[in-house]
Amino acid sequence: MIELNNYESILIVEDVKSLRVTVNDILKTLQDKPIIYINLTNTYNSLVSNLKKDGLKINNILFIDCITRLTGDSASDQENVLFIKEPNDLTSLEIAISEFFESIPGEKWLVLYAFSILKIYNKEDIVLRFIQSIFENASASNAKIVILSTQIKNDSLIKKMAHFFEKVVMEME
Amino acid sequence: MTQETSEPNNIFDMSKIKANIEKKLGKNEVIEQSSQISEQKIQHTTENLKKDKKAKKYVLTGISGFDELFENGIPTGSNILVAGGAGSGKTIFCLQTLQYHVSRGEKCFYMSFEESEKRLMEHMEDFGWNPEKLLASDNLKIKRYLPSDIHYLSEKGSNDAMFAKEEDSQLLQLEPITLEEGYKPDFVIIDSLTAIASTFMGKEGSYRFYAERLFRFFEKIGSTNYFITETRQMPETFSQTGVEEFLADGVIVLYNIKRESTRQRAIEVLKMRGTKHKEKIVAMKISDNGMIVYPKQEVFGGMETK
Repeated sequence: MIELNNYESILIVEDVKSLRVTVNDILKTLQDKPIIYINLTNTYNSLVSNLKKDGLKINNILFIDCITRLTGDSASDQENVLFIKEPNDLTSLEIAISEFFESIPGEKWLVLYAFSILKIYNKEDIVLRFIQSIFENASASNAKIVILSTQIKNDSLIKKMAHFFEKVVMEME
Repeated sequence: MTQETSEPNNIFDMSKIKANIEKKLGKNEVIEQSSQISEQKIQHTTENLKKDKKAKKYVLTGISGFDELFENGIPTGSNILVAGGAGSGKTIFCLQTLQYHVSRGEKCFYMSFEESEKRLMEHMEDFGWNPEKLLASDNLKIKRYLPSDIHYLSEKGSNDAMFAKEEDSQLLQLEPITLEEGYKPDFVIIDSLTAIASTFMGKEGSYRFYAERLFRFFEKIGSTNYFITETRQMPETFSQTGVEEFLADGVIVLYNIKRESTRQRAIEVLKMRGTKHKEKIVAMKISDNGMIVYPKQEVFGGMETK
């Protein structure tokens, strides 16, 4: 497991199966820190149920859920989740991230899983601008970033994006 | 089987942070936020004016985040085009500005060439702006104009009155539009130049001439004026003939860009004479309480078709 505290920003690219384990390990390691978790994979109910099953504390996590409303799931409003209609509403997503960064003094983390989903809903150049903008915000407010993505062969965007990160963990195909 | 962990009390109040984000995204209490920002700005502007009595006077819109796009505000007495495609929020922008000024005791006049007074009041009610109370204060007037209210002269200056029957040389003395005698509003909304232009069908030159007279007329009154004009969603020109944007002191452009199954709202101050402003297209939302502008928030997607 990577030593998270040694880095300001980490990009992890793995196969789907490994990634599920990795993201839970990361949340477990950071469970006493404030986290904004951008969820692009599971519906909120299923995600939280899985995290709890793994014995994870979720008190310090603010979930930004971009999937539940898209699937038509009518998960009820909870105090630690904010539903964004679709993964292409990057403007709302960034407003939420900025506000979270501004609200918490000192160390805080952004965990985004899975970056590969963002690319399905947005053009490459837009995703790149979005990531760049998150980095600008994070650097201004002492926030740390972990972005997880599934492996895609010859992924040019991952290659371009990798330059932003202090640490890149890329599983060899 | 689900294992329930024994969780300690929250170190961080995520519900409060969530509420703040929702407020930012326009789900709650926007009016309150808008007032706070604007009051700060007013104080700042007033202080600036006190420092330099010769300084220009500026006005604010009261729209959350929008006034932060300007160094001081909008110079008083400006003629401003509010341009945008269908559903981009032009009317909301203007009505929100009006309600802000009316509630501060300033005289505002909404001249509608399109929607009825009733419809406009319904829009205001939708956002909780209490139009009945504003009208009762006598500071707000909403009037629907008909094409026959337009005092039209051709660009040649002849007695080419479109709707007036008499061919009278006195017509040359007519103002382009009639206001109640002695009435001097501080703010005027003209909704819209597009509707006015449509009454000049096939007589573009006459419309240009009329538009120029209309701008001069409001300049003379001294009010700050917002001229609504409908454009394409991603416009390259911001008015019917292109001449209006040269006549205007300011151009505010509202965008509502389709991006696959969603739309992205944005706003831009394209031009504003007499003040510094941000030259950037920024994100905007229309919430249950009105318009919110995010002066630092860039817009992702949709704008690249320009």
